[in-house]
Amino acid sequence: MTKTTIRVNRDIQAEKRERAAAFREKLSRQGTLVLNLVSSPGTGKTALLEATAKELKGRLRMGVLVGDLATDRDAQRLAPLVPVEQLTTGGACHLEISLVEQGWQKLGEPEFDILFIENVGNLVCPASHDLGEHLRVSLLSTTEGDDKPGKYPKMFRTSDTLVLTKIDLLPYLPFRVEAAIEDARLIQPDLDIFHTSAITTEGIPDWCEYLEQQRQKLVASVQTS
Amino acid sequence: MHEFSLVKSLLRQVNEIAEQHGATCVEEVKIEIGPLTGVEKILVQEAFELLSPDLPGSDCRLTIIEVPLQAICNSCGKSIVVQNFQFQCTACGSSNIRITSGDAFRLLDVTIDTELTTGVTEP
Ligand SMILES: Nc1nc2c(ncn2[C@@H]2O[C@H](COP(=O)(O)OP(=O)(O)OP(=O)(O)O)[C@@H](O)[C@H]2O)c(=O)[nH]1
Ligand SMILES: [Mg+2]
Ligand SMILES: [Zn+2]
Repeated sequence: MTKTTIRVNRDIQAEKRERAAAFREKLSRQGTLVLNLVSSPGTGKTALLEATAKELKGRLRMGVLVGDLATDRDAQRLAPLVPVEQLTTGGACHLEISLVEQGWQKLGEPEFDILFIENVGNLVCPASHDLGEHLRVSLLSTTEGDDKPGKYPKMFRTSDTLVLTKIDLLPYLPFRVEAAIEDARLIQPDLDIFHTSAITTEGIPDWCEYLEQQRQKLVASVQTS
Repeated sequence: MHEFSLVKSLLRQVNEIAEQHGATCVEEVKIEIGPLTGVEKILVQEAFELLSPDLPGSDCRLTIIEVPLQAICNSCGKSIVVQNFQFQCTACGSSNIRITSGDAFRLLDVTIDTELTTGVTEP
């Protein structure tokens, strides 16, 4: 009997990360910008996508992969507006790259300009999973409270963009926009920040302009490389 | 839930290594976690106790090394420890920093017993 210590020193998610990187690379080459939308349950991810689909109609070709524990309710809401595929996680609290790859194949791997992935409503676990996105977008609604960024640092640290949702409700809530932004910027100074309401559509045009710019940036970077 | 699936993935990798090296028993698995790994130490330990009987041998030990959240400042080049998730250089105040440890779940070492002599033998 011999005792042996094998040095591994590897991130246990290395393989998934590589798969996610390969997916990102593949979609970059065909000019598809991939966004991973993360937030608590009910922040307004699907509502933002509905408003975005209406605004971007005729401007950008978009598709959606939407994750949910059990139902296909979000996919049903989006189906009249955009090509959408439901990813049912069967109880898992976050999406993983394997589910995204499957959903993408089911959609028929179309040449979208933008592919949105709506993650499962959860501010914790989705932070640890790269889905092959170019941009991770955190949503925070005015009803959740302005102290949330500091309470969920990993989610905000790993995000590129912050969308404050339900700003139409600000007159009725003690939510301090400046405090929320300051809290978020302490964790991630480079956040691009948007203020939106899916009900009044305030802020939706700015958000969509940003999407167009980000998509153009991706296309330009692929052409020069 | 999340810890459970991570530990499952960890054990799959440990099993592969054990098989490659013809292990008859896995004695110890050493991992590294940190403040931004997104896992709770106690839950990792519990998941490991639940799942590790599937490994060769019977009672495998899990050693968890907790590392601080460390970063290198891209502005002044100093190595810093990030406290309370304040992502700012403690030397120059810059927020342009790159995390170097404390955000991953790493498998460090696997200690096994083999019939044959392979690899480094401990005294
Ligand atoms: N007042 C107001 N309500 C909104 C807004 N956006 C969404 N809502 C409402 O908030 C609720 C949740 O919105 P959803 O779009 O389903 O939220 P979600 O993040 O997709 O939820 P999950 O997928 O379950 O995590 C719905 O009742 C929406 O009508 C908004 O901008 N203003
Ligand atoms: Mg939804
Ligand atoms: Zn510095």
